[in-house]
Amino acid sequence: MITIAFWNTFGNNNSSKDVDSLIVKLIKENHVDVMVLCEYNKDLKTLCSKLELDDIPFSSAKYYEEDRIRLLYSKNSIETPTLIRNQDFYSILRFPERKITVVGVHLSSNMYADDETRRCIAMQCMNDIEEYEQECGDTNTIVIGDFNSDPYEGTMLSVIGFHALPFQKKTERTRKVAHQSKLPFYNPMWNLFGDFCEPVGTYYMSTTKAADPMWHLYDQIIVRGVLARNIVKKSMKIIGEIGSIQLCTDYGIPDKDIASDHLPIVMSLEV
Amino acid sequence: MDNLWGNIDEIEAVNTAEDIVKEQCEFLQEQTNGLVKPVFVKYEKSIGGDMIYVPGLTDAMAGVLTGSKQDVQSLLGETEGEGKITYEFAITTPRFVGYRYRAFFLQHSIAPYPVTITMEASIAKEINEKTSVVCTDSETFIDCLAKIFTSKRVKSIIQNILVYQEK
Repeated sequence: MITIAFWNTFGNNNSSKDVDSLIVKLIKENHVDVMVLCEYNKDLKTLCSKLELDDIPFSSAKYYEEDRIRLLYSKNSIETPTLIRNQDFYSILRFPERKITVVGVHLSSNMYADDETRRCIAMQCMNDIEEYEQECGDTNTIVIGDFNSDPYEGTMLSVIGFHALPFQKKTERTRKVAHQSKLPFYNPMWNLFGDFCEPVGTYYMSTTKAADPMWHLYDQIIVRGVLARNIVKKSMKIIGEIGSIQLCTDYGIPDKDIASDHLPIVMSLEV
Repeated sequence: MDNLWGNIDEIEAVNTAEDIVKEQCEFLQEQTNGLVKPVFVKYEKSIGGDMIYVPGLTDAMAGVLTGSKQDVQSLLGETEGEGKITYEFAITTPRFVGYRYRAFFLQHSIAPYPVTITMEASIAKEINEKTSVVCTDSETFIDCLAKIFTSKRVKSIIQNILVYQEK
């Protein structure tokens, strides 16, 4: 079993927020093996020491100062990952013994880019993923992060984006589009979207646009079809509270004064 | 019948962008005793159409924009880059098999110049350039290349590789 989590911690220069202790609790409560962070601008060594103090020894994967993605892993349960790519908007890491590739993603927000822009980066990311899958000889790939795109947008759904479909059965084989065969991803996050379960999404932004879903599911985990069979369905969740701390305001939207404007996500796989 | 072609004078040899980058790859490999292996190879896949910089964008992390809307066929089909040849420049090392950091793409059409450099947003931000720069001749290309190669981001990638080699 491997449990992977992601959180965009919204920078955390505000010293009154103790994001570190929330991350520690999140990892502990959910038995996380791999924690992917973005917009985390504190010292990872300090965070690892705090985890160590709580008897959860974690280490950080190799990264560069300018990288937007940080990955922490449990020293007890999983081997040290190898850095394969560290481009501006994504990093690719490989767990060689588990034979799993984890791609951390943080695409540009709507403030600076649109869906078409993000799709260009998605395309380059997919080129690198496919190239590495050929090199390593398997498609055990998980892509996790803040895509700044909803599951129904081109970046996520299109064959020239991440090509992440909402049903698993169709993701184990390639799909032929425009004379090219492309292997899709499975995007289980569709199952967490909407108000049948709370929280409704991972990010809330209300605008005056005519068509505005307000709730967004920008933070997602997508997996290749071969791995999708191993998803522990009940483990998949958007986290609205850590310990006794509510991550949302009284109105039910992510409270950046408490932690972040994004909510964390978590998923386990039987591998 | 007379030769209808007239005189075809040999044109002056041009210092092509490919030649310049390949030479620089050799320099870096020599300078690092082969510990850093830069690669400059043709990139056969799509990089998302013609990419342009967002004017006035201070956060270069936002990166690139496609110039015009394109459909699936044009992005996947043979019209990619309107006949342009695309190369990628990346840094690798024999020590970490599989690792690769791509600093930029280079594109040109049938003529050696102009060339378009599409660089990583963090490099562009650092050297105060657009993510996509058009160089009309070898001089401007060399200037831009020097800025990229001496950027903090590229240096940090190289230095980290060297540090790990020493361990």
